[in-house]
Amino acid sequence: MMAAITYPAEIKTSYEKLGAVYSLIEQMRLEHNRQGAIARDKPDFISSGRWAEYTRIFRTKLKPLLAEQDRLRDEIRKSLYTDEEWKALDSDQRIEVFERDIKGDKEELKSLSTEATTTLLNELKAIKLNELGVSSSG
Amino acid sequence: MANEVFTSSDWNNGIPQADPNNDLTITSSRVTFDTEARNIDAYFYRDMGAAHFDENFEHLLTVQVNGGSYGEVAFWMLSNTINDFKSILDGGEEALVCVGFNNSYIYLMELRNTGQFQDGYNYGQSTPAYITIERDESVGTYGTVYIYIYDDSDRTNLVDTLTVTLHEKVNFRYLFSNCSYNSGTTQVLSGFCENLDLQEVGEEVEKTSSESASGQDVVSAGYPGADLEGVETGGGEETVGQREITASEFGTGVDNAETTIARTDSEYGSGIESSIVSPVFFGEDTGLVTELSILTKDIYGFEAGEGEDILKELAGVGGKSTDMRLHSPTGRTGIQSGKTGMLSKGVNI
Repeated sequence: MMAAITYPAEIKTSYEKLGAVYSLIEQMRLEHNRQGAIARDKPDFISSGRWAEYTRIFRTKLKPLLAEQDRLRDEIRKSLYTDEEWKALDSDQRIEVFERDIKGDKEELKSLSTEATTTLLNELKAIKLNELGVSSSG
Repeated sequence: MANEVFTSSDWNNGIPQADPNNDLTITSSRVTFDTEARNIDAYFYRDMGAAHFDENFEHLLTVQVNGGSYGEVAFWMLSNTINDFKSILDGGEEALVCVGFNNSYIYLMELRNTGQFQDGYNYGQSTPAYITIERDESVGTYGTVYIYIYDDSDRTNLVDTLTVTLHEKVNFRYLFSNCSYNSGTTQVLSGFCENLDLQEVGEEVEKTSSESASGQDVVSAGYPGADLEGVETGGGEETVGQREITASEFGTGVDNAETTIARTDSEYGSGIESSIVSPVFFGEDTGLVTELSILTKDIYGFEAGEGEDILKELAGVGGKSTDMRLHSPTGRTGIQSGKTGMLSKGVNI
């Protein structure tokens, strides 16, 4: 999968990159929901399969960003715990570490603006729901 | 596609395989857990057959956490072991799990012998979350699992997406709609899972296709006694296949009859060449809705590309849960198992 994100020089660490990814994913989500509101106003967009087609395209464009998010989280985890140390934790401890040290404050970070960019967001914004053909895959 | 019927024989007739404290209440569409604790083995599952989940999938379900005290319960799980999911984790077995956790969280977990890998979101209590769980084997070395969380049933308003890049390719057998996490502690959680739709195409039937002397396709399906042959009828109406279905195939009390629907170009809109198509339905001849509600269907006599139109038409007249097999005259056979009108990627006519 191609690198989905271009980071400016000042975004260096895995934590900084992860924050930028959260912000870009959030922008993708907001664009999705903007289109979703249009679909709710015009139920035919849903019954005709047009919304399903949009969803399919959206997910295709979102996945590279999610892959980068996962890659960065794994990088952070490995910087904190060896695989053996990670294995030795119990389930509750892993969740605690994940929430506190790996995931970070996603809810806050995603709302921050970022200078990182992705062409996927522009591609998504170029899609007009009312111009989509109806996919045979529904 | 169709929702899983939790009271069916596939699901042990709605009886949890383990429920020592009677925490689980099963209805046809919902599995409710009430103060399910972290010190019991409780679970409710369906045996789908070895390696059933061996490729991409997309499951739909609705879940809700109604609070508790740092409890942890799986709404949905795939595994190859029947046990509570802490035992599965501690035993080094693999599973994919959608978990209700700590009163308000939804978690996605991959369990394996090197620990668990997860993502989670604090969705809140007492509000249904409409989720889509997808495994995409084309992303990452071993595939990736996603949970898309929506707050509306049309899945138009995305709240968050959970993702775990998988560390191993595993085919799974058992599908759980409830599974406890037995850590020997007393915290509890309440909530439910409902409207689980696996969106699977139906069981493939053995089929052959050949060209008949009259230029019409002869399509044979691998049913006992199936004998399908194209027949040209008058007035431009075409019936491409018929099959005798005995009452024993559908249980008692079902007549063997047929209902024919004829449609015209105007009903299809443009782009479909066939002038009149007559899908033939076999079953109880008491009206389309009733008939569609109870039987497995073989539908013949339409052209390539029309599968979805037929499903929409059936949905429009109130067809309910059924299995349909759609046979095109060209010999391509699409198998649609589930709810009429719920189009899916499984349709390929």
